[in-house]
Amino acid sequence: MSDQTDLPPPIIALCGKGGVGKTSLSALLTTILAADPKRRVLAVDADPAAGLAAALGLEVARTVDDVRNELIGRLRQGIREEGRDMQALADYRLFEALEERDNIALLAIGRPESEGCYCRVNDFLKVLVGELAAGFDAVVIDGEAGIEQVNRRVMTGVSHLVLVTDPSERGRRVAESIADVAERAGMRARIGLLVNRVREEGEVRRIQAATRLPVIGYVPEDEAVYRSAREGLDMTGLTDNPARFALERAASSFIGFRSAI
Amino acid sequence: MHLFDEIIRDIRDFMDTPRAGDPVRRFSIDLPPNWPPAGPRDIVLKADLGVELGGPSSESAAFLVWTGDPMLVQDGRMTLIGPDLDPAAGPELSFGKVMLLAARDFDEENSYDRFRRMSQVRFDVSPKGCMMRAVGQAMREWRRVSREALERGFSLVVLGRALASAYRALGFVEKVEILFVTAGPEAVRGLADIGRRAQIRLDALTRMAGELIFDCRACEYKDLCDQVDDLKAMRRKRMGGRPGVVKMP
Repeated sequence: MSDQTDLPPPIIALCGKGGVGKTSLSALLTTILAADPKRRVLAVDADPAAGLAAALGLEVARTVDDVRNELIGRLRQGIREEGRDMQALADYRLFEALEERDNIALLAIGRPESEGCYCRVNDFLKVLVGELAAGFDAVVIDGEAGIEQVNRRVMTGVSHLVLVTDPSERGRRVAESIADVAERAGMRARIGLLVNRVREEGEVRRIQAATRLPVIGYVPEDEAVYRSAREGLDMTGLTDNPARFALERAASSFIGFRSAI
Repeated sequence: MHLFDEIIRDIRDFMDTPRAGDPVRRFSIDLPPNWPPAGPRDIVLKADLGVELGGPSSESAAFLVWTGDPMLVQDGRMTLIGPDLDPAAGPELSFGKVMLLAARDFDEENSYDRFRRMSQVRFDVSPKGCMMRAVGQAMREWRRVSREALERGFSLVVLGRALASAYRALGFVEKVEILFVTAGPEAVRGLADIGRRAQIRLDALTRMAGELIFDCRACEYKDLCDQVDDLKAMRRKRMGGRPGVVKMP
């Protein structure tokens, strides 16, 4: 990751099978990146399970979906607005929706879009989320299982796609199918496989032998992380922690940022 | 165009009304901008914050008015009611902002387009360390000024100079005057009362410019148009001399 401000910020999306620990790793990665107080990090909770806020010690009052519904409500009421006015309102509401903690801001996407096709509103919001993200030094997206949902509901332009798997065969296959979709869609993101909840190194070797994806690292099973995830606790305090150290090693080489530690 | 002349007089009265405890100061902004523009990653988070103006939980009233009578606008003057950007005044301030512009050659055809161009200007003025979000119809303008910008000397005068220069660049704007109000929620609410009257006129102007089928008999702005000469003239032009209903191209 370049810390040069004239380049677009790295946009890192974590995707993978449900239950492999995407949210915990997204929270830890956000905290790792934000350890440098000069680096402002946008965390985007794009998982309908919406656990990233709690993992970052934040509460969500408004989501992008709420903003979308407000805009659609205005259209349904027959309030006619020029595109620029709608854009200004949406931009205001998106900034209002940010939950902040030090140099971390969180944007929750909310539930998947409901009835009706409001392409104009959806496209507006995607562009605006992208513009908002461009104001930060790094963006971490806790994605749904697939990258196509991130592209459709959050933003395009992901620069680093971290496919998270546990040591299971099923997790690896889901990760590979997500990579296939990304490649077929012509995504230019760097793609890497991160193996989570590893109990012994043999599990990583088995994954490495079976996959065509580059394995960027592994994160050991960690009781503190597991407990925090299970109980919906704030993970930002997990600083002296083997899982975090392992993630930092993997991410700093894959994304290319300078560690603050 | 004299759509807002009466409102400009009310704003002038508002500026001249003595208020206990709220300093009223005047500054010249008739100088080139003296602050660099924001870079690509110039978002201001709470952690970077020096002062927040007109945030979602504070009062905010921001609008612009214009006139064809240059005598109604004090060119290059900024009036500030309340403290300048001083963190000692508190991290969050209510915020009022009025752009008073003297503009030439407005007519029934170009008024709406020119209004749109003028209302867009504030989005194009982005001084480093001063982030803005605004909703025109709600008259809200939310600014965050970073601690670093304050330490380097950013003030409302700096902002005023940047805004004045950008409005003048439109060509048809001859004079620029600015009122900022940071004196507290009550003062900003007082300004918002005036702003709402300006907004109704803008809404009528927008309606007339945007309607495909315009029926005066069913229009909520008919009484206003009957009273305001500029709106009356626009209506006549739109109707092409036919009374009642007009189909817009």
